[in-house]
Amino acid sequence: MMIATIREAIASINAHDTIKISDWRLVERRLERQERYYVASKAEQARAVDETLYSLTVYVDTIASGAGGSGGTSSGAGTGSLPNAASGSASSAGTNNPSASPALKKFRGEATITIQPTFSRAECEAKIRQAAFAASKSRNPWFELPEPSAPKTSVPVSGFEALSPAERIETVRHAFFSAANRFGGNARINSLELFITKETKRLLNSRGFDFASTIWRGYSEFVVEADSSSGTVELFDDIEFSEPDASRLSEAIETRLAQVRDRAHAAPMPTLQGLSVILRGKEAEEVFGWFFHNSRTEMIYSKASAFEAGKSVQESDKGEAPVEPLDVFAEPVISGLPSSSAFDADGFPLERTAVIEDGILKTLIGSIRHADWLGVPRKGAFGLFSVSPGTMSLDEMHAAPYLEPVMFSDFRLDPVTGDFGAEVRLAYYFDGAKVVPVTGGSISGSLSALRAAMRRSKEVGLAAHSLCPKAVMLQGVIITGAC
Amino acid sequence: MPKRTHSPFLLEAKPVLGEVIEHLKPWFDYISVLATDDRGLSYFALPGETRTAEPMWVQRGFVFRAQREGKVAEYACAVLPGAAQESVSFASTRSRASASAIEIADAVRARLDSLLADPTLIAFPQIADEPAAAEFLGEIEEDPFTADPEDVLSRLAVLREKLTDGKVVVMAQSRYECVDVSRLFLSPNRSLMQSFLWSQAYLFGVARRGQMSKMSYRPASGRKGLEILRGLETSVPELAQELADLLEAVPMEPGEYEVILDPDMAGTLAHEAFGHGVETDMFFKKRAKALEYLGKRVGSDLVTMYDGAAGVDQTGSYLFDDEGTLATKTCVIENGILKGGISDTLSALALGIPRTGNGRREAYSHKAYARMTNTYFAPGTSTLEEMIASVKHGWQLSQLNSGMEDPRNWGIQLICMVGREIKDGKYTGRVASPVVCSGYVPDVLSAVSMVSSDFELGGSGACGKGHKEYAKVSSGGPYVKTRMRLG
Repeated sequence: MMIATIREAIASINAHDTIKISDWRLVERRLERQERYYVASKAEQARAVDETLYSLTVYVDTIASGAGGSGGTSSGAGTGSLPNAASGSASSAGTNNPSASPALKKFRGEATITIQPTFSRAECEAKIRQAAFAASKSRNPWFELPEPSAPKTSVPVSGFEALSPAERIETVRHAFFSAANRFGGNARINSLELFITKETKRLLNSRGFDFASTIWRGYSEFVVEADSSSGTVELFDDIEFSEPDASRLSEAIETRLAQVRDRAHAAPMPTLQGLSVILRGKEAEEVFGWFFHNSRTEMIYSKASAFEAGKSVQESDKGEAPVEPLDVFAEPVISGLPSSSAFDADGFPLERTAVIEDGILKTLIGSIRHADWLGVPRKGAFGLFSVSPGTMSLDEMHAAPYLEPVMFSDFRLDPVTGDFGAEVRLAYYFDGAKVVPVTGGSISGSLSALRAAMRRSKEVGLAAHSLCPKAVMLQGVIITGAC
Repeated sequence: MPKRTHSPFLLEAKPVLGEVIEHLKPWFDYISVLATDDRGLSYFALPGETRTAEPMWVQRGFVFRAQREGKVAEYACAVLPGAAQESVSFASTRSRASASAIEIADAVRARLDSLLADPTLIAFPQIADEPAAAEFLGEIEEDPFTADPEDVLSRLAVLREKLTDGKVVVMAQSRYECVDVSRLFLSPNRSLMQSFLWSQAYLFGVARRGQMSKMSYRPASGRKGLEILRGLETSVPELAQELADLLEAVPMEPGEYEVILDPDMAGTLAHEAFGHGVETDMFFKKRAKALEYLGKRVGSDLVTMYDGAAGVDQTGSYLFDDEGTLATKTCVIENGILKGGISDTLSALALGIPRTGNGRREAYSHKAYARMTNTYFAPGTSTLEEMIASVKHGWQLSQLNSGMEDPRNWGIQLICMVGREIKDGKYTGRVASPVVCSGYVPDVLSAVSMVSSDFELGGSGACGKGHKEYAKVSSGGPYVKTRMRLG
């Protein structure tokens, strides 16, 4: 119903207003969510949420005299709104292109607004009119919205679909708590939050694109604890999932239970020098993700990324060549991960794309507008990626002295600079003779300096947004002890 | 200054929701509804483009809370179930008067009944519903909702263009966003309404030499309007110099040092060290070591720390929280002694402690937790110059990147982008970046040896609970001198 109201409001604005909406994009998201908040094995409260969200982007085209083209705000003089294509047929926005004239250029401004499902028709039209006015004040290089197209891949139907609401909660709850019960001993669940969301999404645009999909988003964060001689210690973790995959959920909690048991007798981390640092799981994913995100069109267009197509992304800032060149792929779908999608946010169809091959940036992925502005082929914006396995097994990485942090307070890797650092909550230190759990202190470094020498494991695993090597080994990380 | 106005949607909803609550009242031991209508604006000036959008905080919806036999459930919805339909206004709902309210109440009751049937639910003591009626309307100077978008975008574009020189600073972007908060809380005995606007703005720059990039920023924030941009406009030369300095930055040599934390870093130390640590839902889960230290020493005599939505005016301020409790100001640490915690309703009930008005939600659709508001150290008597002069070998730390708490085991993590070396009371000119600060919280607070007389609060960030549930907060206070491990 609201989609029809929005269409009517746009048509009315384009019929009566001076500022015409040239194109639009609309996302409808309907969320049905169940939530439980467990303290030990009892629930603090039960919650259910029904949410509907509409996000509308309006595009207003203008023609302007002068050079322009570098983006900015409308200057008023010499600027005019173009006739629209949005209210009716989806054919004319790309026609009558004034950029053919050396004196005139066509620009596109945009504004994104939230339409609440409780908006009245008048409220809806007033807000869209304000958005069109705001969009008319931006003068960015023109680009074209995607035309309707068939998906190039499909997202598998989730196993949650066949379960009742009560079964969904119980299946996941049981996977976690039965694993904890099996683990037994000194380590246990302190608290656990559980969210299972069915998201029905519809993406439409003024060019006739209209695609509906259903995604199941499972999320849990949990705190495990163990008793030590100086009191109770804990570790925190979270996991995203789109399938009621009991073995993956159980493994996640079992891993942390084993680690918190080790934290209970961990020694203060000493200051160490010249040691390999092995990052695992989410932190390894963040390291690989830095290469993926810096290959995005928007990062390169804005100069936030120093990467260049056709050049090495792994050469260090001192010019050292990579020891183990990377292969990174953009992935539309990875089974079990909620960010799987057949289309990107603009409605561009996604297909598996080789982004980095042998350490060289081959293909830019990212928003289609920035691809157009850079003059590179459109590939779309992906939420997932994969990284090819390395040549060292985990056993080989563990053969020489190392520090292997497995839980940080909050690992931070700056997406622009590659600087990273965090306080260590639990790490395993191998001095060449024995492995001991250590806690406290911190690590820091910068990928721009360390990337050439990095090694990755043969073993790969599912992370939050990728399928990538389970470990990355870095040299030259600063290790600050706890004492 | 002109006052804000309440959301017309909420004013229209109020009588209908009042009827719904009356219909639900006989079925539960406690019932309430929080209705939200927060609108917002975001303006971006990026290299080669400008854009207008809305912040993540924009929301409109309802959350009903019910208690029966001690068990608590919540049902949150964007559209009232039952009679209401999408895009049907309350005006038309009202035309059907009580019939609609009964239908809505029946539908809400069915959802709450189903949730309360969960056998794993904990029984809490009865939620009190003391009578209260109050309202608050904030004030601002420059209203972003009536400003010409072109003017705002131009101001932001000029900021980023001034910072970008193409040689050292290769990229800059600026951003302004505001949220016009409007909230209504109704229960059988309480009727509360508040509307105010907060804003935040940033100017980011990236400096580059070869493949090495360094980034820094300046923030601005407050329960203010576009007037916050004035502060950013004067910060450009200092930020440009800082970015140039960062290209010369050295890695931090690991060790324990004297440190002077700027008000933003000091406020985040307060926030992470003893803000999260005294959120009483953490007491309830037995996740907070602070519970064992109430009334005991946790810092030097110079350490006094507060949290409160009342008492100061920044982005964490409000009249009432998202559970309908009026805001207060809590003294967390007084002269080094841990005094008390900040509570949400359920943990306060479970622990038998007062409600402090810290029950906050990311949005109507999210659970309420015990959350911070404005968290800060009280000022002392030293000057920054005296503090610098007192340092034998240490670092002045600024430009916070992030912080993280460890309430159970009292670790602390602060990461900042700029460390300036001080030797024998003077800056050496050396800069380190990034700097990871860590330590054992009581050691860090016990080592506080000087506190400046300055007082600044910054509210440009958001606070998460774990890695989600973002709430708008501020933190700050004076410059603080202590000792921390740096790496």
